[in-house]
Amino acid sequence: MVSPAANVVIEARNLSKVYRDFWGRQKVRALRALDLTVEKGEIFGLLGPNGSGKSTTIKILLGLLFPTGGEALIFGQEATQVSKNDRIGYLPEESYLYRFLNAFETLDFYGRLFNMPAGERRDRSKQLIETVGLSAAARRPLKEYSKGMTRRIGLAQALINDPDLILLDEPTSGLDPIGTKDMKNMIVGLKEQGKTVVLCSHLLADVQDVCDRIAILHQGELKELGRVDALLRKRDLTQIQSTQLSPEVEKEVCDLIRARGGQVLSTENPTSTLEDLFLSIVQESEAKPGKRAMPDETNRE
Amino acid sequence: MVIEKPVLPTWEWLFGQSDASAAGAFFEFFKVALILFVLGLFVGLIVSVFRYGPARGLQNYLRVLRQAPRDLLGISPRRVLGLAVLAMREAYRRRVWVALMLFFIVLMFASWNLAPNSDQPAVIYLNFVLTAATYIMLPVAVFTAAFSLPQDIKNHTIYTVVTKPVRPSEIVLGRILGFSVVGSGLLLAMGTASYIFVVRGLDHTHQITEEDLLPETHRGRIVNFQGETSNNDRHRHSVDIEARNFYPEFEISSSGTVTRVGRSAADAGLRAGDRVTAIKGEPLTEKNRDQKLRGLAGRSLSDVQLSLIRDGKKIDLTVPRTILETFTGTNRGHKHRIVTRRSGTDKTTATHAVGPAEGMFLARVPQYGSLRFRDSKGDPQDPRTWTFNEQGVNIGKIFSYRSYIRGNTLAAAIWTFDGVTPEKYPNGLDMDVNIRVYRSYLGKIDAPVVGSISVRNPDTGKRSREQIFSGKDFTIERMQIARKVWSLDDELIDLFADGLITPDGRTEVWISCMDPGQYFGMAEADVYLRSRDASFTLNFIKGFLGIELQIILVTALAVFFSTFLSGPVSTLLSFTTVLLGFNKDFLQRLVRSVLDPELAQQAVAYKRVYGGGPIEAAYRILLQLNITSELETSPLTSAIKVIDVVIMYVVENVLHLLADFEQFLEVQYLSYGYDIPWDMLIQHSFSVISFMFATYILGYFILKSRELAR
Repeated sequence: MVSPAANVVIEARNLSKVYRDFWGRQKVRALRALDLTVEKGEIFGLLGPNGSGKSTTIKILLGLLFPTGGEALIFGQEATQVSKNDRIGYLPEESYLYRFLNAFETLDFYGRLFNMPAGERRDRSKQLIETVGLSAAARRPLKEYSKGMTRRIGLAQALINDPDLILLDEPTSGLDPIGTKDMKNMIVGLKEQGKTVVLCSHLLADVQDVCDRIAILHQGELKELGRVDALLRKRDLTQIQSTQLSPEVEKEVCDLIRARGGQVLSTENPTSTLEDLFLSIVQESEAKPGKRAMPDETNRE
Repeated sequence: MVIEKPVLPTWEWLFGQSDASAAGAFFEFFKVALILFVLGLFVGLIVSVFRYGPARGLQNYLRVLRQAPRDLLGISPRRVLGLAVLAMREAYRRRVWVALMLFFIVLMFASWNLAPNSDQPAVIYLNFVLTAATYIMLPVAVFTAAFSLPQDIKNHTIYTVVTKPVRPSEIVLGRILGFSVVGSGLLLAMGTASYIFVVRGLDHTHQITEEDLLPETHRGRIVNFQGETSNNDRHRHSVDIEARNFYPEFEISSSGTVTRVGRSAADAGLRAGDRVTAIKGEPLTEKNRDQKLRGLAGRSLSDVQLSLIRDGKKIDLTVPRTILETFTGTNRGHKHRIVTRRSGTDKTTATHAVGPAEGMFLARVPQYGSLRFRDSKGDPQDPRTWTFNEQGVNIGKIFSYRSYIRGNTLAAAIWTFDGVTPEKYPNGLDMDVNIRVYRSYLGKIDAPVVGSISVRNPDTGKRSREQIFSGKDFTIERMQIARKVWSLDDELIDLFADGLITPDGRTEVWISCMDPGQYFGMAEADVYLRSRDASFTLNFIKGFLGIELQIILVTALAVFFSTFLSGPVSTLLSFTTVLLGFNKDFLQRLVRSVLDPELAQQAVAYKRVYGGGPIEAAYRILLQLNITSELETSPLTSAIKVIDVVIMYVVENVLHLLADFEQFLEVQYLSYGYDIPWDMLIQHSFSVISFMFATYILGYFILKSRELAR
């Protein structure tokens, strides 16, 4: 039996951070008494508006900032311990990479930092470049990359050491819908491999799609923490979806609900998301190049 | 250039001299390291408490201390190499190779104006390339190293590095190594180009034709041919060919066997392998060999009778004298070998082959002796202290490095040399003599002051007859005491066999001034023996290694400053450190002038720097006071002096941490033709490694305790 503590990957205890100026005067209280636990194998989302303390939390967890109070533990080690980084992958908000290196050189460099032998670095770099779809541009310097390509090589460097914990700061920022979908698929794939993912994002839909649990921060305080499905479920509302429903049957159903004391708030045909529409058009275009995409007419009014 | 302080042997430098007069560098290093360690612990605690408050500050402080041994010792060569390679790529991206282009362009145009009429073109050429390389490379090293880390922090690229298992120590070390390798690569290219530039740039020869030489006759017979070479490279050399110095064209070994035969001797029937048994009918023995061989010389095309043994048979041959080897006169620090051949078929003409320049590129290996003096009465000891005179007369110069001996008295400067063996000095004692001449009356200003030089056995007192020489101020004169010298009894004696040198290889060289009322000034390093010269090419490499060490030192300092300062500020601080390092001696004298009351009281002192400390200097500027005038005594001036003493006390201690760039004398050694001792390079390497070590440790602690995401 695995003890609960062994399952805990990240633990923040009463974590707080105050930014001070050179003379030690308090400028900003970025984080207040944050208590947080992330368990092995889950996708955890940190949400909050700008200045809510998300990035500060991530930076403290990575040892880039030191907490003013409390404690941050990763794999049971202090966040300032260098050795914890052996099992961590980090994709920063902007892909802060050396723009004069190409994709292979970038991954080779970061592989060296994990003390990987040359052969292993070569194989792993090749595999990751294929995974993130940059094989055609692998020898071009990063300064020639688009933002989406840079995000993808950024993700590849975060995975170079096959980490157990991946911290992603705005992972879908700058990606087109296809790239976003690929990124989300990749995040889910990482979870399926048993890895723990912590991400913070402004794009709430992305978080909703992939996260198991989320924490919502505001003004440095934890406002909400729990499973996504539990937090979003509206227990006093029921949604019925059906096909082949004639207006008469629809009226009968509504009457029955009212007769039983319920209240019908609305009946309507649900719309697809623009993302779904975009993806279906691109998929059809790829399947039949040169033809104008014709989405399903039956679903159109 | 005179080497004032001979380089100590490395062992002595490291662990101190046997008389314990000075502690070795090793102990000094540990002393400074210990002080820095204690100071670092204290300052670290204060800074941490100030930044994070008492409890959290102490916690962070203890955390850094706890993690330090593992971080400092557990570095991974692969990670360091990775970071070093990244630094190299970055330097390349910053186009450091432009420095190389700049250097090449400078070289291309330099030869147009460089030393067209100089007496020492090699010194000027070498000085130029070495100075250019140093002054181009130092800023390049500072700029590349000082901007790298701050740029990474500013661009946040450091985030993706420090979130890997990289220790701050590895970041510092990787950068120092990477940028040092870049510097080395550039220096290698500059060194190669410089070598070609210097050697090819000064390579030349001359021509001599019959018309260039005029015969000089004595009683109707030609005694010599005098003239000049052709004008090449904007100079000529004087030529003086002795008419009686022609030899037969063959070479002979010490056993009397003919080893090489020229055309005229071969035509006369001589072959390689013949053994010469007699010259001009007189048998050749081991004892008289040198004398008899000198008898081979004579007028051109005259014949020499040789008795030989060939294949066991005795043969008598007559061989003509057709070849003469001599040197041109020295001009611009070099001379050329001349080989003159007179053909047997055409007796009226001679061909003169002039060789390449010799003696232009030197790597002299001085063997120093110890110096003592005899006073004007010839007394070896000071009557007051009963110790040997270590000083001569002070003629009133503030710079008391040299002592003076008075002319036409019994005063003498005596050097005692050890390790003088026939193997090292087969042809006698070659030496360089560099004396200062002090004239107490003008006399004939263009006439040299005459001196004498002799050799004496320190045990038996046996001495050679004095040789006379002309003392020239500010000139290094090459002198030779031949293997055979005249004794006081007018006998030609051998330096080694006849007891002028002790069996264990000790001898004394005595120098006296012979002009009454004039003085010779000298110091221990002014006279040295030259057993051999080292390879100039190797010396050139050593010279560039000296620059390389300075580049590494500057790189380490710039990387260290960049761990806590922005790029421009670390650049500025690095340059300031280099500037102060090049003037460390002056700063030390300045500090001592304020702190040492005895020195501060002296009206005239070579070591004193006038003007007081910073506050006093500002006060003098404000009141427009002369720096040498004494301040009036008042409560204000007394307070100023006290504050200056406190400031200078701090400065004195800070100076200990300053790299002494003045010590890097490799460039001067190379330029002025002295072999750079390995001891010097090793000692400087130790110094640089010590600084690298210190910057590595300090850089680690600063980076470790720094929040890189702020």
